[in-house]
Amino acid sequence: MHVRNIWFLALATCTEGIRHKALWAIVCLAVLLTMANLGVTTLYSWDLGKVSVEFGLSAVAFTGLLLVFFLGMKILADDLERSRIFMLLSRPVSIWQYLTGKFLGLAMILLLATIILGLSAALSMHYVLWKYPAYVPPNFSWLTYVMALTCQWLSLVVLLAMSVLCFSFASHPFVALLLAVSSYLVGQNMELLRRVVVENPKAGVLTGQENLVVALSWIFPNLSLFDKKYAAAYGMAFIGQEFMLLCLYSISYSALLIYLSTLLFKRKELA
Amino acid sequence: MSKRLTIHLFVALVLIGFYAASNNALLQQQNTAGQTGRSNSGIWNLPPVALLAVAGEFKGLMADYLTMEAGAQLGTELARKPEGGFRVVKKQYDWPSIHRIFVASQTLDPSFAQTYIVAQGWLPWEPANMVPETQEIVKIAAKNRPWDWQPYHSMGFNAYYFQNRHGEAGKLFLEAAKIPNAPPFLPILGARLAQKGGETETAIVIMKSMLVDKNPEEPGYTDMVDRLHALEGVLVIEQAANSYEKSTGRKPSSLAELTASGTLAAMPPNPYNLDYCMDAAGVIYFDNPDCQSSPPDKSNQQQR
Repeated sequence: MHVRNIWFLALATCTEGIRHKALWAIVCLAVLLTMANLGVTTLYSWDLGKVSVEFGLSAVAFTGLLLVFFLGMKILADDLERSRIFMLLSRPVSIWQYLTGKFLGLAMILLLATIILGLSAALSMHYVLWKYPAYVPPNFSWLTYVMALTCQWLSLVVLLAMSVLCFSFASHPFVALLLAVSSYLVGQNMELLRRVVVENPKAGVLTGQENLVVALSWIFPNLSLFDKKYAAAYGMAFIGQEFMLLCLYSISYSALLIYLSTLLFKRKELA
Repeated sequence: MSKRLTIHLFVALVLIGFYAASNNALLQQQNTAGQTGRSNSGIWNLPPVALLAVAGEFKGLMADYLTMEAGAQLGTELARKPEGGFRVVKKQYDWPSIHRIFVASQTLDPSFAQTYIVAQGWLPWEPANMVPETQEIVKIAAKNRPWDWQPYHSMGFNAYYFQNRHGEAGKLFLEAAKIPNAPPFLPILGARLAQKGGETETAIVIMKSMLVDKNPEEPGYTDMVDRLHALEGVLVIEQAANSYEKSTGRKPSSLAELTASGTLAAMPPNPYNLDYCMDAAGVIYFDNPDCQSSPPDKSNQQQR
C-alpha cells in the first residue's frame, strides 16, 4: 500500500512535470546549448575533444540546476498554493509518502532530462571527436562519460533532496528557493573551504576553526565530489569503487534529507 | 491625433532619446577603455581560491572562456576607417595582466593544452620577455599532462633558446623523449645538449632508463645506443680529466696528456668512428674532432 501510494504520487509528479511548459522550454535551451557545442568547439585550436566533452556535460549540469530550482520548486509550491496538498493528505497518504513520492517523481524528471541532454551532448561530442580525431583525449572512454553523466544526475538528486528539505520548513517558496541555491553554492565549495582551512594555517577569520568547518562539511552535501567533468574530458581513470561510493553517498544522504523533511513538514503551518 | 496619443509619443521619444544618448556615451567610453586597459579588470584578477569558488562546477568551462579572452586580447584588433575598410590598431599589451589570465585559466584547468601553448607562443618572446613565468606555466602543464611530450619540449626549447642553459635543456628534452609517441629525434638532441651543458652523467642515466622500455626493433633504437656509448666515452674522459686536475693542479691541455700521464690507459671507443676532442674550455666532444681549432662554446664556459 505504502509503495503503491508513493509510486502513484511519483508517476503523477513526473507526468505533471513533463506536461509543464517550463520543462520543454528548458529542454529547448539545452538542445540549443548542445548545438552551440559544435560552434564553440571550433573556436579552439587544441584539445577540441576536451572542450566538447566539458561543454556537453556543463550544459547538462546547468539545465539540471534550472530544473531543480525552478521546475522542482514550482511543482512543490503549486501543491500548497493551489491547495492540492489537502486533497492528497485527506486520503490515506501520509506526509512521508507524499514527500517521498514527490521527490521520486522529480528525480525521474531529472533522470529523463539527463538522458535526453546526455544523448544530445553525446551526439555533438561524437561528431567533434570524429571530425577532429587528433584531438581526442588519450584514454577517452564513453563509459567514463556515462559514469560522469550519472554522477551529474546523482548530484542533482542530492540537490533536489536539499530543496525538498528547504521547502519543508521555509515559510515561503521563494525563501525555500534562496536557501536551496545557497546550499548548492556551499555544497560546491565545501571541499575547497575544508581544504583551505585544514591545510592552510593562515585562513583569515576561519583560522583555528578547523573543527567547525569539518563539522559543516559533514552537514552540507559535498557536491564537488560528484563533478567528474574533468575526468571525462581528459579520459582520466575513474574507478568503479569510487562510483559505487558516490551512488551510496547520494542515496543515503538524500534519504536522510527526505526523512528530516518529513519531520519538519509535520510542523509546518499548511493553512 | 488625440491629445493622449501625442503625450505618449512625446514621452516615448524623450525616453528613447535619453536611452540612445546614454548608451552611445557608454559605448564610446568602453571603446576608449578597451584600447588602454581592457585586461586590467576581470575575474582573472581574483586569488586562486576565490576563482575556484566562483567557478564552482563549471571550472573547465570558465578556463575555456579565459583562454578565449587571452586569445582575444592577443589577437589583431581592426578598426573601421571613415572612408571604408579597416585599419590595424596598434595595441598596447598589458603583459602582466595577460599572464594573469593564463595563470587563472590554468588554476581552473591545469591540463588544458590551449593555455600553455598560447602562453608559450607569446609570453617568452619580445616584447613580453616573460621566460620564467612561461616556464612555470609550461611546468604545471607538463605535470598535469603525463601523456603529452610537448610541454617538456617547450620547456627545453625555452631553456636552450632564451636562457642559454644547455644542460637543463638537454635534461628537459630527455624527459620529453620518455613520453610515449615523442618524436625519435628528442633523445638524441637531449643527450647532445645535456652533455654540452655538463650533464653527461644525467644524460647517460636518462638514456639508459629509456632504452630499458624500448624494443630493439624500433626505429631509432640503434641511434640511441650509439649516442649512449658515445656519452659513456665522454664520461670516462671527463672523469680522467678531473682526476688529472686533482693530481696536477691544472687542466690537461689535450687528451693526449691524459694517456701520456697514465691517467687514462686508452681512449674509449667512439661509435661514430671519430676521435674525441677537448676544447680550450675543457668540454669533451664525440662528434667534433676539430674542436680545438674552432672557438670554444661561450655558453658552456658560462655554465661550467
